[in-house]
Amino acid sequence: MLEVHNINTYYGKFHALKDISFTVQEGKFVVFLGANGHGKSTLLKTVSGLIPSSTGYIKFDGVEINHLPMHKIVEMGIVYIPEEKHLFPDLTVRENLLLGAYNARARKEKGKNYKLVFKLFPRLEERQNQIALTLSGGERQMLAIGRGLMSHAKLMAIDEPSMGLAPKLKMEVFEKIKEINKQQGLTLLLVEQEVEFSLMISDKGYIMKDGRIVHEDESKNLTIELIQKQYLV
Amino acid sequence: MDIKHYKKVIVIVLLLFLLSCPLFSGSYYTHLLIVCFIWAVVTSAWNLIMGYAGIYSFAQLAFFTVGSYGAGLVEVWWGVSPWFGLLIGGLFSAFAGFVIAFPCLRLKGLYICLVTIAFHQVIPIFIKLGAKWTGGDVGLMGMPHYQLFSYNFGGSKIGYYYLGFFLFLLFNGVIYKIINSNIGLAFVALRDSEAFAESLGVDRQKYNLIVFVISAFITGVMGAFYIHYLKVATPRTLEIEIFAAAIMMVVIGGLGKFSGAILGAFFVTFIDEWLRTAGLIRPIIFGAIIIVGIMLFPAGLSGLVESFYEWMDKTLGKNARIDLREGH
Amino acid sequence: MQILTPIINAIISGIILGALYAVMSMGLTLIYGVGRIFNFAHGAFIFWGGYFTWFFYSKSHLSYSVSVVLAIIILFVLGLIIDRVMLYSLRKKPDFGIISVLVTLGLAIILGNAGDLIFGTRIKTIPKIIDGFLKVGDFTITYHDIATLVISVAILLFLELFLRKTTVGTALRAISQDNIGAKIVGINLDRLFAFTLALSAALGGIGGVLLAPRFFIAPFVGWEILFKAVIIVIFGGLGSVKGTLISAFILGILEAFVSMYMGMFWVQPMWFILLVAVLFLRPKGLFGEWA
Repeated sequence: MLEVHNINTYYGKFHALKDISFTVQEGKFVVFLGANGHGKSTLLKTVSGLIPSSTGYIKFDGVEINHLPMHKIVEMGIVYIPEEKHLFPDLTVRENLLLGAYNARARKEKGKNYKLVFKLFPRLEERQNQIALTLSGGERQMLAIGRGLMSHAKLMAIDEPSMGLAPKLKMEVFEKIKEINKQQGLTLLLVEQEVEFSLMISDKGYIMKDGRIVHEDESKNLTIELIQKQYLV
Repeated sequence: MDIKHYKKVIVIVLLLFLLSCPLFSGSYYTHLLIVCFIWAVVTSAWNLIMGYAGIYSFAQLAFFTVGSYGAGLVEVWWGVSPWFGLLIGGLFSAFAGFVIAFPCLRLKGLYICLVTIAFHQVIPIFIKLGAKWTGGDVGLMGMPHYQLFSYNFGGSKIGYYYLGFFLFLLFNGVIYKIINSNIGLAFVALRDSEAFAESLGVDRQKYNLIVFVISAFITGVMGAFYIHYLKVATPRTLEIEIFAAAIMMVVIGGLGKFSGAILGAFFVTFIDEWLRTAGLIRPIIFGAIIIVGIMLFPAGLSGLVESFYEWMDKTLGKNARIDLREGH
Repeated sequence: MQILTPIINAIISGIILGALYAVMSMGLTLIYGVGRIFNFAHGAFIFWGGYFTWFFYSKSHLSYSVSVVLAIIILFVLGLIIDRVMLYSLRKKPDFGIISVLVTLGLAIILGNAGDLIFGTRIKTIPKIIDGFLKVGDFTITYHDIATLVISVAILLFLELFLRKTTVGTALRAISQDNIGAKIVGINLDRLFAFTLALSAALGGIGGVLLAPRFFIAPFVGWEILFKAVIIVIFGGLGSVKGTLISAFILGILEAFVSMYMGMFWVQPMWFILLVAVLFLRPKGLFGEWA
């Protein structure tokens, strides 16, 4: 479903992604691990169209997307949920969610997805008329994911959803993400620092270092010891 | 060697040319060049604030006018010598710069823009309020001419030309030194990475203040010079036409480039003269030049000059490289 | 009762003025909130609303309403064109802040003087919406003023409904709050930026048409009006629709009182002092801005 080939991304002169290539099959749950600053977020941003790449191509369902503007990529079915979330602070939970369905494909399924989001995150339903600014950290994460679901995407790229959350909430978030992958069949690209949990719920893991993918394997074969060896190499 | 060498040679040739100009050119071109000198300095000084410090100040013409009237008033009403008038004009303007800098220091970019424009708008009000001394809209007249020993500048343009040229060299030299000094480096550092620079102790506020005051002082001196040359000081320097011309100079020259400011000033002064008879269409052409300049030539004239130097280096490059190998 | 009459007159004048000022300034705040552009050419949009109307009415002899509608449409399209031709390519640049200021200044200069060039420098006028006046006891209001008030309020209501209830309107609010978030939900920012500038120009134009009978139609009026719109918008909080609304009414009433009790001469200085005061004391204005 997603084919990434020889991607190089720069921030000015800084070479953030170096010759990145990988493929992801439909419905799979893939996680990118690695220390901060080694390119994980940049990878998601490049795939979702927020940042342009300078070489290579990215194909989604066979179509090249790397030179498309972000709104077209969203239209095609990739949604990005950034670490900073970028919610609309002065809009209500309801308005945030409805805007999530802005793209044409999602508008038809608005009602259905809206109910789905509340089923997944009942706490959001309680707060649907509150403005996003007033939500707690965990609720904001749920809203961010919920808004992503509203876009009726086929592939979701989530960046460090558990960041800054209490352990119990972290678990909840991971459970929900796994549920989304299982029940909706959404393909997931996850970036995380919580290595253990991520490997438990994902199908495949990629280790990133210095902007490169240095190791990849099925999640069940990856262990913390192995990863630490890679980080320190 | 290479690019720097060509640059030095071209600059020296140009300066020698300017030095000898009044000897063979008529009164008209001498006049134009004097105006060029004045605006080149003002634009350069403005460039320090906008291009290097990155502050969106539009107060330059206000500083110019404050300097003009400062000098004019003390000379006409207190009989101060016009040479001192230059200094006093600069000081008045520097003080204005100091005062305006304070609100600007704690405001965000756009608001600085508005405060300085407001400052620009308030000056004519004061000029009109003090019409008894300033002559209001009619203007302030009666400033004595410069006198060097027994030579009175009032006779011909030559005295003004060389004084203008001298100020042009002096102040652009000062500005050039500042850009290449610690202060200039401080701004580059702040621009590239503000947090890092500040952690090293670079105090943005202090440098902004210094730049404002210096820029204002220099501009004020030119303002004082200007009214002696024109023989009158009026609030017309604050009108939209000159404002537009000044913006053009900065834009066409290329924001943030030292040579750009000077090139822009010369270019615009000549275009302005050329279009003097165009009437109503003139400001429209100005506006169009500003927009086209920003859109198509962001590096401005100085960008074109740089490209020219690069081209020269490429075509004559082989020779330059051989030179290098043999040592300078 | 005698003492109250002038006060009530001032309040009524102030409210009408406030509504008018709100319509006139709304565009400036919108384009800043959504597009982060301080449009120095906004005064020109306002002034050209009057100019185009005058042209169609006096020169082409179309009816007043048709002239107005045409003028607004032209301004809307002009906004689209300006955004696509100029701003679209400049948006990607890192120093877009200062660039947008310089470009809009250049535009303001062109538009400000184009009128003189095309139509000559004689002062132009357009008729009132309706002639005549209404007398209620001690108070007199012209029908034109009532119409101005009604139309302005209607426009403001429509705008509010548009922003709150429609998808595009909510998208505009979203862009002004977090424009990366807007990209993430798939909003086509370029298209909406163009729309916002067009809307902003159209609103300005309507303001200009309503304003024209009170002023002459001449280019310097464009700068004076821009000046007022700037103060209103900053006082209310740049980018805040609510702020601009409230600010316009407060300042409109203030101007009415100053005009009545201190004389017309003091109106300009009043605005100036306000500008300086706001910039020095509370640049964020009443409702801050979405930074």
